[in-house]
Amino acid sequence: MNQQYYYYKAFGLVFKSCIEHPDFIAEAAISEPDCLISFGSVPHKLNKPDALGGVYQLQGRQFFLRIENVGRYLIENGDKITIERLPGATDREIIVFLWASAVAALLHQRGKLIVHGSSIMKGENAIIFSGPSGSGKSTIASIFATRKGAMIISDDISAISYDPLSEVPFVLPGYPLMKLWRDSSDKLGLEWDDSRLIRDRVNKMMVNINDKFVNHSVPLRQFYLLSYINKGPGAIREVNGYKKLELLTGKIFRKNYLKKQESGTIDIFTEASKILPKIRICTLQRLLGIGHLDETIEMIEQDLMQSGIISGIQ
Amino acid sequence: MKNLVWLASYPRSGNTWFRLFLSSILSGNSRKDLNQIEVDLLSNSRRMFDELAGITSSELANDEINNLKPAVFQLLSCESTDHQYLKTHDRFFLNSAGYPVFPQEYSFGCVYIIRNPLDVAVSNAHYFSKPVDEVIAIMNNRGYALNVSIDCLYPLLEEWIGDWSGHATSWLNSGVRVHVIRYEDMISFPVETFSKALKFLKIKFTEERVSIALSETSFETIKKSEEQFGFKEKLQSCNSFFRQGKAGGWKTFLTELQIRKIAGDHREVMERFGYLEPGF
Repeated sequence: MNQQYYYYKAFGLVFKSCIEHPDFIAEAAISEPDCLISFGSVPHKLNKPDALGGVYQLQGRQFFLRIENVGRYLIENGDKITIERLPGATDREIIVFLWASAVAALLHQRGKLIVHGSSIMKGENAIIFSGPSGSGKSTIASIFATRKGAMIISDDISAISYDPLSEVPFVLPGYPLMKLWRDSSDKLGLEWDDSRLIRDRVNKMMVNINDKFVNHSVPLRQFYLLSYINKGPGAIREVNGYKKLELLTGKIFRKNYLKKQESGTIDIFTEASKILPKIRICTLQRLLGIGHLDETIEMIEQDLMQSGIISGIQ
Repeated sequence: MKNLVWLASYPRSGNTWFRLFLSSILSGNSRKDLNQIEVDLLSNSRRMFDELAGITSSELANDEINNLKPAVFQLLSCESTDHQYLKTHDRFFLNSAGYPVFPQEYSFGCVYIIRNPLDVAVSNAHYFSKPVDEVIAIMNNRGYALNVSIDCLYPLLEEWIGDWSGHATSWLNSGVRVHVIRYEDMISFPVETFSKALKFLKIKFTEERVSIALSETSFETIKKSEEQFGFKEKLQSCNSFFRQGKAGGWKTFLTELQIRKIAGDHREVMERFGYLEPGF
């Protein structure tokens, strides 16, 4: 029996995948996809890796990822992902790590600039909310999409490309999917559905956002770095000079995946330095907790209006 | 390399005071803002875990995170030849794969800070805004954990604290070199107590420097700093992290019944560290 393949577009690439993602929009089959995803045999480790972390190893153009109870992934040459499923792993678990860490490694191999952040389109402009896990990136982006007329460009990982002709940086569309915790889901008035948990033992739900998803690149104007405080009012502060580079490159998604790939690292820093003059970068401190989100949203809206990134009539 | 130093304690036992003192000694000067101290690594930092593991911890089950922690700590150890100080409220335990979460082969040692559980109960009741009887029950709960992400994601990873006695004995029997400090001795005999800890950590010091560091981290100084700059480790629901900085507050706070309950639950360890008169 022939293997069935599914074609998906994300981050400016076409993926030919052996595993279906129920929330992604299938594309028509093409003869030369950018990346082939297939099941196959994956070694237990790489020989003499150049660098490693708790779950990964990399050597030259090979990247190896091992997720306990789920599977092993081998990402090669920026155009191939092979998956070996571990006993008992569900399709849902396989795709959680495939479309996050495995694809992030692939994007790094292709020299793409990817940051840890969720991005929205407000008006004609892209805004990225970046920050560590738990800082509220997805929740803030979701609130803008559900209540403030924004659209989602990407959740959790945002890929930025620079067009040398127009000298404009763009955010590339990611997936029409968000992963939300129960408190955020309740805040958005969504119905909690245990059958859509990303994994049986992790209380995070996959939310299909096809109706709020932008499927084209959007000019990037604003980048917020979120952090939380436990006292006092929140604050937004614009950063300038070398701090902008430090802040943006500090939020490169899975920066450790770049270790020892010196040429790739240089490409990404060069790309980042071209982008910086074109975008506004701010730190955003907010009080921790879902109860303080409304004031955070208000603060962001005011900042976007004052800086001219959105107008008051939107 | 054995360069990881665990600064371990049950919550509200003086761990932060010790870290502030150590930061002052290591930096050679005081930090007016408590949020800018040198010894600021937390063993349950989600950010550190995600970076070193190379995966998003919020997509892993807690036992999977604990199974990866030894590798994460190994990587942290290999990144530097210097001591890496990590605050932890975890008890010492084996993960589901059977390995110590805090790997002995990369551990220089542990400074274990212990405090009279009668005062610990009072301090935790204030800090977590819980009735003292509930805190007493928690202190006897072997399964108790902090930062359990069920409906929301905490910025810190889950910490298995367990019961007060088990917390202390888990570290004492861990196989890691342990130097125990009593909170009460930090208050009553500060120069001697802190100096002994520095010797254990093989940090060079002079008595004068220890005195300066103690003055820079006196309760009044750090309380004032918290009022001015806030403290990032404080719970949002609590007014202040640093409350009284005293020993013996339990005498005017706990009932006879509560005292007897704590003594009954933790008799052996309390006697071992001089918190109970034999025969109480």
